[in-house]
Amino acid sequence: MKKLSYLIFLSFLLTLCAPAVQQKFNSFAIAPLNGSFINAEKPQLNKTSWFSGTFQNQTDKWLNENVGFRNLFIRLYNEIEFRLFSNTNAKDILVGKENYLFEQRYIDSYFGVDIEDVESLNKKVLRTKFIKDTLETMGVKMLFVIAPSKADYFQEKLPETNLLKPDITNYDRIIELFNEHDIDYIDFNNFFIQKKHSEQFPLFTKCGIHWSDYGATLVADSIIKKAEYLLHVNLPNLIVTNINKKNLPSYVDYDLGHLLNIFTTIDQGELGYPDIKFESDTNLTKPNALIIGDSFYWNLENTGVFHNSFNCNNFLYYLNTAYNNDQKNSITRLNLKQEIENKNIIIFIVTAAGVQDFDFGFADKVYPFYDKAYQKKIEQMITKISNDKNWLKSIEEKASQQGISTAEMLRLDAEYMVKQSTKQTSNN
Amino acid sequence: MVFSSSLFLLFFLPVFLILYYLTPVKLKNWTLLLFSVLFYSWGAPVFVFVVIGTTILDFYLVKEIHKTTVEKRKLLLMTISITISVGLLAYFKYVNFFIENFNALLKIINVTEVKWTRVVLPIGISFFTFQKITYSIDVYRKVHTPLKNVREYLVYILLFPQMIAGPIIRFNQIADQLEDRRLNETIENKVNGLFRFILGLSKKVLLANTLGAEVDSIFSMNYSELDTITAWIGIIAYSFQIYFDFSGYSDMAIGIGRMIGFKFPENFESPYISKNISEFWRRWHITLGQWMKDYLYIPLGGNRVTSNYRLYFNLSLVFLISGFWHGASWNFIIWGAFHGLFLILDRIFLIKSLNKIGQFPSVLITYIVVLFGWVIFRTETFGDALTYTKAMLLIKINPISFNTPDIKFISVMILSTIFSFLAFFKSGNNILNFFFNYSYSKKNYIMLTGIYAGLLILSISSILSSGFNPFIYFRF
Repeated sequence: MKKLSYLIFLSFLLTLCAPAVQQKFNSFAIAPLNGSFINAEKPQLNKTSWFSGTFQNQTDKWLNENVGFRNLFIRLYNEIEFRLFSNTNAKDILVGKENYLFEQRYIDSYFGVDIEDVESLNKKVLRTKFIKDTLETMGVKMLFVIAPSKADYFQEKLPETNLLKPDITNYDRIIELFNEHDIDYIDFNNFFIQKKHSEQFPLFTKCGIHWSDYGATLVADSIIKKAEYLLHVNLPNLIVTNINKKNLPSYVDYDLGHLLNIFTTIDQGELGYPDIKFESDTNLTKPNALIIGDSFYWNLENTGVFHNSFNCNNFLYYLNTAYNNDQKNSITRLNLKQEIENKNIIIFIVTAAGVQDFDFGFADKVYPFYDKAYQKKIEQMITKISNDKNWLKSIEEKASQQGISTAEMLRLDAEYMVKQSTKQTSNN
Repeated sequence: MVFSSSLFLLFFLPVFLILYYLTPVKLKNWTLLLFSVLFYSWGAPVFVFVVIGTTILDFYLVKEIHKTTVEKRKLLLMTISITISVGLLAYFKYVNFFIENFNALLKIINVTEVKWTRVVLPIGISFFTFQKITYSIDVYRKVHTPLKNVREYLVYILLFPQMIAGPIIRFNQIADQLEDRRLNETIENKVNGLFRFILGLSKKVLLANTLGAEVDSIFSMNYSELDTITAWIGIIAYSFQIYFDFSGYSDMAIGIGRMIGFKFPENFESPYISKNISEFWRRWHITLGQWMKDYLYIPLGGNRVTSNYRLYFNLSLVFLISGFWHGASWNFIIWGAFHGLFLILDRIFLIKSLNKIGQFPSVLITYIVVLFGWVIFRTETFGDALTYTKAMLLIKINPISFNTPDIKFISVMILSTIFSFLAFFKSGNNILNFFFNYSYSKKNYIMLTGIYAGLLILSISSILSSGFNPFIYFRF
């Protein structure tokens, strides 16, 4: 028994030492965790950091994130939490019935927790109407693609709650307002619900938050048809040559599942992955398109629709970050007015769960471009700056530093000055 | 540094144990001292110098107490020693409280408040202050001779397994072990200590922390709108949280102590199966109760006073001080008074009455009394305590405000109830004896090893998944 005791004690001691050894030598390759994290900074030891306690706090956090086998321990914990208690350790991910995964904000939207008053929504839609009408005079169309909400689509699978579905939500209000003010849109939320039981493959997967790759194909096809109707041209159509049946989901079709960071996989059932090609007739038109949207863009982009049926070189993610092929830039570096005016169509992709921000602030951002009184103020400011030699010199220097033309820099500064004086006036 | 952190579990503890076991016997206390200083200075990098300085001063004062033969001088030196210890505690723990209350009084009479920069409470001060007092008094009373060198005294005060949150170890209980504990350093004790440590870790991480999340959620609600069921769930969950948190910590301290040859006293003995409040205080935070009895209650006369009123006064005073020891706030004082009142009632009639109604009702009534006490302990102000108590007593069911607790919380509540009341039943006692018997057959030994290995892995997984895990009793 003594030998057994020694063996037991040594085994436990070695178990306690193993993570530190793994951290130092990295002897075993452990798969990384999925999701976005803010990593703790490595602690810096000096007199100040020690006596203030900063070093100790940083060390605790850093070690907790970097200890060996951490990913395995976390996966184990998550697996137990998920399988025994239907809990997830992922931010805002909830487990519904039969292990259907949802994001909190979609459930909030379904139950009207985020409802905005109708006056505020009406104001936004009216401003959009103004921009739409203005751009149409320049031959630019605007199209709103309302991506479906998983909470609406799988309402029977939602987690148990005391909340009651309200009579009206932001989504209902926006549809009403769009109809009232003649805004062009495609409602895929309703479309998906209608198609739910008639399609061969799921339009939403159990563990995905976005439309499935199969669903994205239907969406792409519908967008092409709608654009043809709005622009009165024939676009290269999408052709499905084959549908591959798979039980192993693509990354996007399992994006919430990956965030669970568990060992096992949740069965998604049979999924469809279409093989797609596009018409290549030279008589067909590929309109210039600007896409502004949320993450529902990505697997739509994977269908190839934006490069084969449209000429699309920029995707503005949340009107914040500009993606151009593999390049990523802040939108502040973009000449937005020029960008929208040389397009035939601007397509907004917004989920029904966040539809109250249907244009991501686009109308407010571009309104000054087309507000005549505002434009007059800009022109007057440009003239004022140009007449001030010192000011003009600093504009030239700034333009050179930023790699843009003096005229562009002049306009940017003028816009800034007018905005500041407008703010001051409204504060007074 | 907390025990339930990856830093302690996966770096500090294994490195300490390996180095400790490899160190020759003569130098073991140096290793222990070095790691204890590192442990304490990790959380209190400035105050550690105050602790070391005053401990060294105290050592020489007490040495002088032992040397001197003049009774008056002995008494004076002991008074100085205790005054320094209590003075430090009074300043660091209570001065903010006194200034705040003084300023409240000044405000009433429209006098300008005193300007004051709040003093930070050093961790563990309540515990090691009491231990220092036992050293002075035990030597004064000639219960035990003082330690031969200052290193051992520093080890006694700074001993990291128990310094932050107990158990409160009286000098005479540990004196011999400080100088020589080779007899206790057996492999069986090491394994038993390890198992005890893992048990404590699991109680804290798997039970107390889970309960704590729901408790915090309920206690952050508006008490005046609280649903009756939610209020009861909240306080019952808290009673389990505080029990497993504190007893879990004690288990970890006892376990580490055992791994390095120390035998620390037990601190909890299934307190919720008590049949009256007097019994509760013999089962809850046992070392505090014993300290209060030996160093405060008995010097005041104890049970041997001539009048009942003096007896009740002594009990009240001891429990007021007990309450105040727990924290610098009126709520803790009131909580102490609440328990003191029930101890007096026990003496007058309550124990007799409870004995008549049978064990199960007595246990239930006592538990409910303890729950009402926990309301005072948990809430921030007495007003909050009253409002919460009202919510418990005035039946109000509001289906909209009542959040259905999740399956994990319900499971942990069921397990907590079972573990808390297990010792009430004979079969439960048999199970507990099995775990704490420390003398197993080979088959049982292997089975237990598997259980504890599973608990350890689960606990580490939980810690790494959730991050920081503060103990409740760090306020003391």
